[in-house]
Amino acid sequence: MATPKKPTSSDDSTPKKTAKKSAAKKTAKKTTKITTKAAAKKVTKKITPSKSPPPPPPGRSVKVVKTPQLGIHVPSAPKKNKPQYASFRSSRKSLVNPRRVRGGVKLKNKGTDDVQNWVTQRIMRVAEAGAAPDHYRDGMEYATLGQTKRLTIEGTLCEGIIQGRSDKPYTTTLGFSAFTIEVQDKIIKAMGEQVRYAAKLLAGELPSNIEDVFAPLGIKLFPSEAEEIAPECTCPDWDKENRWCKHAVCLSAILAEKLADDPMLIFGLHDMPGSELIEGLRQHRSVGTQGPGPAPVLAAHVPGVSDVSSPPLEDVLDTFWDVGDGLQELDTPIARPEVSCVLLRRLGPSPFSAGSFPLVGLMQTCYELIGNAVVEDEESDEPDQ
Amino acid sequence: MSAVVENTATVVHANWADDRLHLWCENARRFKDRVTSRSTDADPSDAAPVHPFADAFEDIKGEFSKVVLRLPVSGTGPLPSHAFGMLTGIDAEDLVSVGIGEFEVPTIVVDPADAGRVLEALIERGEDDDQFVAGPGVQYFVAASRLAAHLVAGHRFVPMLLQDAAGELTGRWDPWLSDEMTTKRLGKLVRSMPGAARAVPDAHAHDAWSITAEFLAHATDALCRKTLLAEDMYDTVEDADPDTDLQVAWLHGLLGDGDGVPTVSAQRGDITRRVRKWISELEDRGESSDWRFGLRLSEPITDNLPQDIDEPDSSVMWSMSFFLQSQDDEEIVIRAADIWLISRDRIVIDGLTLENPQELLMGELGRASRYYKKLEEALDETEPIEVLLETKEAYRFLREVRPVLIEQGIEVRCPPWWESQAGRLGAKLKISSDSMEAMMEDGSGDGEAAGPQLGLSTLVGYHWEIAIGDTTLTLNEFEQLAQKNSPLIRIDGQWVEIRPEDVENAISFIRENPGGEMELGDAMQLALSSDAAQTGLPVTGLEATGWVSSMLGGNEDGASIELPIISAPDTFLGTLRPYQERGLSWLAFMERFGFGACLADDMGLGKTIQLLALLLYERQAEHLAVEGPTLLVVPMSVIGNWMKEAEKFAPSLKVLVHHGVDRHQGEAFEEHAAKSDLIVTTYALVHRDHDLLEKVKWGRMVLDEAQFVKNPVAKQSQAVRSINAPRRIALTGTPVENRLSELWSIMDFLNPKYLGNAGTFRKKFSLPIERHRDQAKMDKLRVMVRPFILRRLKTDPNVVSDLPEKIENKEWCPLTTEQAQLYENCVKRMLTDVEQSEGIHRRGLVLSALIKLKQICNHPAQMLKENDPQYGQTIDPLRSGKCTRLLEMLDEIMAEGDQALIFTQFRQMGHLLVNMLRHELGREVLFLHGGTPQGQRQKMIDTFQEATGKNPILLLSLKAGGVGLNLTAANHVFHFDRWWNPAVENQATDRAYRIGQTRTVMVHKYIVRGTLEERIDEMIESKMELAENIIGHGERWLTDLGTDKLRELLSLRADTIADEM
Repeated sequence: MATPKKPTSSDDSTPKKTAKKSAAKKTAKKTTKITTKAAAKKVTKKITPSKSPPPPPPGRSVKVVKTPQLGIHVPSAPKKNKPQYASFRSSRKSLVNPRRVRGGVKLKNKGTDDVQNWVTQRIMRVAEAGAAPDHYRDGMEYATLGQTKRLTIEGTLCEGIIQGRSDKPYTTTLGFSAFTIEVQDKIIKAMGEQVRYAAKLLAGELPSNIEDVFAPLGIKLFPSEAEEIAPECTCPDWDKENRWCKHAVCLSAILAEKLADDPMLIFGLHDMPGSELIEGLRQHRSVGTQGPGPAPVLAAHVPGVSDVSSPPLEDVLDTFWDVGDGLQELDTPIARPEVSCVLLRRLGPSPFSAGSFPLVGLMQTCYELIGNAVVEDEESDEPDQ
Repeated sequence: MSAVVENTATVVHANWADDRLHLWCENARRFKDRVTSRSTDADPSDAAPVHPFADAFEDIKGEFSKVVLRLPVSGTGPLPSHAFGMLTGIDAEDLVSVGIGEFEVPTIVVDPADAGRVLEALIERGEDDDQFVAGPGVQYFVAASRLAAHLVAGHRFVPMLLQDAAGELTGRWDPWLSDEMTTKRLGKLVRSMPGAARAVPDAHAHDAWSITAEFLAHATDALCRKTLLAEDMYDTVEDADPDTDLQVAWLHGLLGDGDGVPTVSAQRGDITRRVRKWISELEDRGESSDWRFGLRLSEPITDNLPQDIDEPDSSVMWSMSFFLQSQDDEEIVIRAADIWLISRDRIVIDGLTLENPQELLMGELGRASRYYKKLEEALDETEPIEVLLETKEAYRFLREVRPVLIEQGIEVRCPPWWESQAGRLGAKLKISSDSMEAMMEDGSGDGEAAGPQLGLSTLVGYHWEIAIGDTTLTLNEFEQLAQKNSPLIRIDGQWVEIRPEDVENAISFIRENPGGEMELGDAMQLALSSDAAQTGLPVTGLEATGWVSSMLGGNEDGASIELPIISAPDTFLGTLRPYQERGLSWLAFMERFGFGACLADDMGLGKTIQLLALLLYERQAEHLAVEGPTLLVVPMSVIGNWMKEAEKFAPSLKVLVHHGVDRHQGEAFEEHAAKSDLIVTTYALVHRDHDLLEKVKWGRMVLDEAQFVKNPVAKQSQAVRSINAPRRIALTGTPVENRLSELWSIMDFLNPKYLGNAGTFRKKFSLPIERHRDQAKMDKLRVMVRPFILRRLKTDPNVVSDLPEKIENKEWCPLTTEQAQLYENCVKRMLTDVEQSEGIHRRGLVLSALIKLKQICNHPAQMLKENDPQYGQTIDPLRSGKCTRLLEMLDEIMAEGDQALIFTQFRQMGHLLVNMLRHELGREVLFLHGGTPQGQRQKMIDTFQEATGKNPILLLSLKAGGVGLNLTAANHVFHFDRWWNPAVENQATDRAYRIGQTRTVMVHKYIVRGTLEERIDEMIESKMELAENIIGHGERWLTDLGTDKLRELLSLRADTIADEM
């Protein structure tokens, strides 16, 4: 069983440990706990990994560090997959000799001591499964060297221009599948029901056990099989039937890191822009306290009110029959509005462009009739005596 | 003489379940018949057991239903609610809950559309009926309904689309709750939700927000649909085809009585997305959370403008400039001009960073232009810094656009005169009256005409003026101005708003009201309480000359009224404090001009002696002689006090007490009355002896504890109002302005018709103020009544400086018939017994009888050992003169927000009082006695010292509470029964009167007239030799007295019994 290992000898990437690294460390630390939890579960499930990690490349000196510390609370699982990714960061001289690219997209996050971001792991595991070991190793090297001249993500497609050994760079793409509208609705609903996911996502963080939410729905957020990424490349090595080329591995690594930085991208890659998800969640933020019956398409979010849950009745036995003081202070005189139809004015033109029906005009009439009726009812409040 | 009051106690509760409001109640009948030891374990089914004493609230018509509720339980079953416990006299200790249990409760359901109306009626019933309480749930949902109505009236609701689990769509009108102003209110509401109102176990999971949101949505939808159905709005879409136009489909679900939105599943994604996106516009409050976009509207540069009334022509331009403002520090503002000038990706100012200011500015400008098209002009420019507006555009912006932008999270700054009252157009009433001096001299001439001549029916000259801010205009001037047809004009260098709709109203109003003479009362009503709906434009003020201005000019504490100050006459045996002299002067002034006056000083400030001084004053000054005696109406419990005070301070006054079985009747009464200066009688007798009292020609009528006439329709109140007297004074210690039915009754007694009839008053003031806390109405009413009420508080700086740190008063209480009988029997039996015994035995007999007598003075129930309150049994305070008075005084004290200590030497009496006070006052009462465990003691003291207003009363047994404690949160100390040892009593008083006390401490010593209590008090006061024996020895010395002495000392004196018949 592989124990957490850390390449100790300096490799050619060491000087590139920039200030960014510490930031990356921080995030990695933040996610440590979550990762380990999820990982702990996994490790109990598969005591024997289906794919045993490849043996450490020859000539690499391996030293176990910090095992005791990690051993306290972290089962080795998260590291289990790490050696493959870490393996290429060996001390050996670069075996690949591509044409160097200036200003290419490089992996920033290497030589990390800490547990790798789980998003990265997920992607790299797939790449590793898809590529031959040497392709995998070379691809990772490319990624580290910064052979990616350009990276674009458009819709479900991630495209990289990668410079290999020949003059002309290759164009490599990774294709993801689009979520249908139905699936998107399902996702929003499922995530909305877990308030803590919404909070994390809004903070730009992807909870590691998010897949627990999707699994029961039969939805895969991150690929687990090579086919799910559907790589294509213009290089001669590319063989549809066969395995991944190093360019695809390189692009995967770059993408994986990008996803680790901005996990919301994964939704975009499934043709579900993050903004839409957040919007959807915004309406679901009160979910969990959502009552029975049909749900409004836009649920009110009232800061400080809808996001606060009430104490259990058992905790308020002393005040069970008491209304709070605030009730006496509620001041709600009924009066005509200062500006008529103020919400309608703020809403702007009808959202339905196609219809010729004067929706807003009709609404305005409704507002005025309804508002007047309530005010008049109040004014004509006859004394009972 | 039943010891148990028949209990009709009912507490109504409300819960929201299955989209409807369920009403149920606890009532005394069910409670008596309840099955207490129902074993829930024996129930084979899983269903919740039926609540043993809950009932459907059948007073409301509706469908029967039931709900399951999770309620606090004791070991035996569900506990009564607090309100129910208090109504039925259940001890607080018996209401302590050990957990929550589920119970099924029968209910009556109310449709959300009717909820508000039905619930408000329940609240009202609770106010009128002592035995009926609208429970916490009712109070909560009434407030929630109110909020819904408030939002609907203010157009703060949105059409909504809902989707159920199967994907089917429905339409609903939802309240819009996310705006700041609503959020605050809503937060208060939700945080106030009692557990009782969220006791239904359902999908809401007892969550206050979830339940409230759903209730609000249903209430809002119901309110909206009611109107839409009444207006047949559905007709507008009935013929349109929902299949071809999704808007029509949506409207089908919004306008009709059904809520279905007819769509096929393929359309649903589209319609939900569109509606969601549309409505979420309301949440769009800008990109950046750190910086906020703002607009500043500036007046045209005024240098080249004429200073006076003029129409700014179209060349005059207002500028609207753009800026970004820091959310952290609103002072930090970066103007658009600077943003373009600096032209950097990042601006740091005072440590705050603004990234990409240009993009943010442009983005926000774009957003703002969605709500204000005029801003699109700026978007065409490369570096926009402002747009220019014509005056009319500026006005439209201020009136219509500004509120929308503010709500959308955009900062709008406008000239300070906008929205200030000073800039509004209004009408001002000018009243002219003679000078004060002239009036005073005029009245002093001959004694015959000394009666009140003026009053509210005096004719005064008046005319109306159009006023804009401080400037008044003639009709001519105004008409000229109006012709300019500009909504914003400049007068005296000051911009003012002239609402086009006001102009015509103003002109026609002035034309129709050219001025002349009218009654002062009418003028005041018109100027002070009319609203724009009546006059067509706001009445912005009242200006008066002469004596009317003196009358209107006073503050609430009367300090600033310019009054001729009157000193206490020589015949007054005592000194008036300066504020009391002011009170006397004010009363004289008000009477001089024929106004009824209400002296509403705090308890303990000496209202009684101010009135006595007034009576003496007018007898001293020849020309002021009042023809006819003064009729003073008081509650029975204070007759003794008045007699004692009159004897002490005004012995020259001839006082007649009209009270008791042997009171004068017929001509005898008229004869005696004519010879007296002051006739004291009770509220009950004013009604009973009405015909008799009406025959006398009264010079004045005075109501003491005037809050007794609070119920305008009660026979006593009507009787009081119908007696004819030219001068009227009311004395009260309660803040009448906060109790509107009281205020009306008192004002109608003092100045009939001034506040209109009871029904109109209720509609116009009581309902809006009491139910809906309408501050504007409250202010209006306060201005109207202020001239007639003089209220000084113990805490007023003017008063405080005049007050000693401690004021001791004796409260002379009467005996009730029941008490008198018990007392006499007890004395008789004792005297017979002691005749036949000697030595220790005799002493024992005397001592035990003395204790019994003291107990009888406290309350018959104490002596009769009824003090074992069972569920559903309460002690009637009216059986004891002391208790009656105590409740009256506590009522005032609590109304003032003060706290009180009550000392008694009998622990048993303490328990009895706790039970009685809880029931009568509806508050928990703390009781500290010798048996209170140390831990609880401290907790009680802390609770009391916190002074939250929830536990304003602390009872102490003299022994337990005599020393050591610090209870400075109290500023009233009651000695309910007497120890006859000033040192011991002072020690008790010093619990409150000690370092840390910042207010005047009022000490009230209770003494029952005609009994041994009065006799002993007299002995101590007269410093008889005997007194030394008394002090420090309790009642023991009495046991050595001979039988004759005992008889003399203990026998009941006549005319001290409370009951009239």
